[in-house]
Amino acid sequence: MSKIPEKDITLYHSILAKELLQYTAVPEQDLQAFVSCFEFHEYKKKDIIIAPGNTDAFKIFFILKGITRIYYVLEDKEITVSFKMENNVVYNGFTIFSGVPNIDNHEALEDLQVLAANIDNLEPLLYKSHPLEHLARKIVEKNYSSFIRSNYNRMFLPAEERYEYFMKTMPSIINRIPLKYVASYLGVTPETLSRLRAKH
Amino acid sequence: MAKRIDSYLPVYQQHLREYLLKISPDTPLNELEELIQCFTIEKYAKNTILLPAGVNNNTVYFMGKGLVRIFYEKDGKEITNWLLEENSMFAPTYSILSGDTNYFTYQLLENSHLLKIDYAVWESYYSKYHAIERLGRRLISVYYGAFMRKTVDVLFLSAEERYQLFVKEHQSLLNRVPLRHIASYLGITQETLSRIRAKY
Repeated sequence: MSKIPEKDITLYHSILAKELLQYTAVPEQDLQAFVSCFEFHEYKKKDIIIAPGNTDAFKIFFILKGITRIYYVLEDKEITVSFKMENNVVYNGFTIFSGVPNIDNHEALEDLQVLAANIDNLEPLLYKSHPLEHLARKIVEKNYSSFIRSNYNRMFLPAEERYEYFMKTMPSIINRIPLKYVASYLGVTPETLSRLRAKH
Repeated sequence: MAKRIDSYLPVYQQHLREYLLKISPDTPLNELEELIQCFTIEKYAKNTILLPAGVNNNTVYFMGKGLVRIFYEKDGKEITNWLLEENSMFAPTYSILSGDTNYFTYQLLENSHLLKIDYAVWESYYSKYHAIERLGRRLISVYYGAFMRKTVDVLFLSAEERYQLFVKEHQSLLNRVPLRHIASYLGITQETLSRIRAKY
């Protein structure tokens, strides 16, 4: 990792701080201590930033610039489960929350700039500050809900509604990623996706 | 004369205390005690639908005695997602946290004794006590992990491996739960389950 100018890392930390403040108010000093745990990293397009297994199990990433695709491989087929973009948080939830080896690949679909921290370094801060603990609970709850929600969508919603939900929640992403990944994410063929796009 | 339901309260409270301390061992006992005292006890008959799909009810339950089946309906079929016995905590977490409609039905498979608390009361302790908020985060993390693990198990384990895991972790349920629910929980037909059982 090349050294980055101090003014840039200050800017990156402030972007993260701003995002965190959307969950809840946190005293400035506590928030600074929290965001200061994050370091700047860059990845090239196609890099795998989190691999299956337990590598970097307890890292948490905040995307400053770029998109990642989360997928697993089943019977030689890649199944896309999610996309993450600017201001999203990315981590190996399998290992962090359930202790089972991670099954997902987190792949950079564009050159990627992130802030990364080790969860082991964040946890002590949550002990010292109730507002930070509150923030962490809100984040875990939100991620838990969206995990259940995406399971629900896959189980119950017809393709068209899954497409609408995708366009509503991630409107800008479709112009930045190959459509084959969107089709895989929605669980439809590329032909069906074209038909859905033509209709809307 | 049957024992009054209230006479069971202290022993279930003790089980609840142990359950919560296992998840968050560093919770001050006096703070935990305040929370536990907010739970009330109620008994229900076998087959009671505690909560039907489509209805939101922000209650958190702890199973003192009995068995709950949590299922959803898809294409006219009931799919069992969870089977929980004594000393389990459960709540319609997704609808509580997201405000969206609850899509699970909670059915008691045996005469049951439940401790329960309104989520708003539970949540009020998050702002009152730092350690209780930490407990809440850990609890959601445990649920999150359980959901993730289930996802992985269904995708990557064979029917036989899933059965073996179930026997290892829920031995006692085998004789308490109708086999059709166990088959549904494992994602296999009842015939496949019988064939696997005959082998062991």
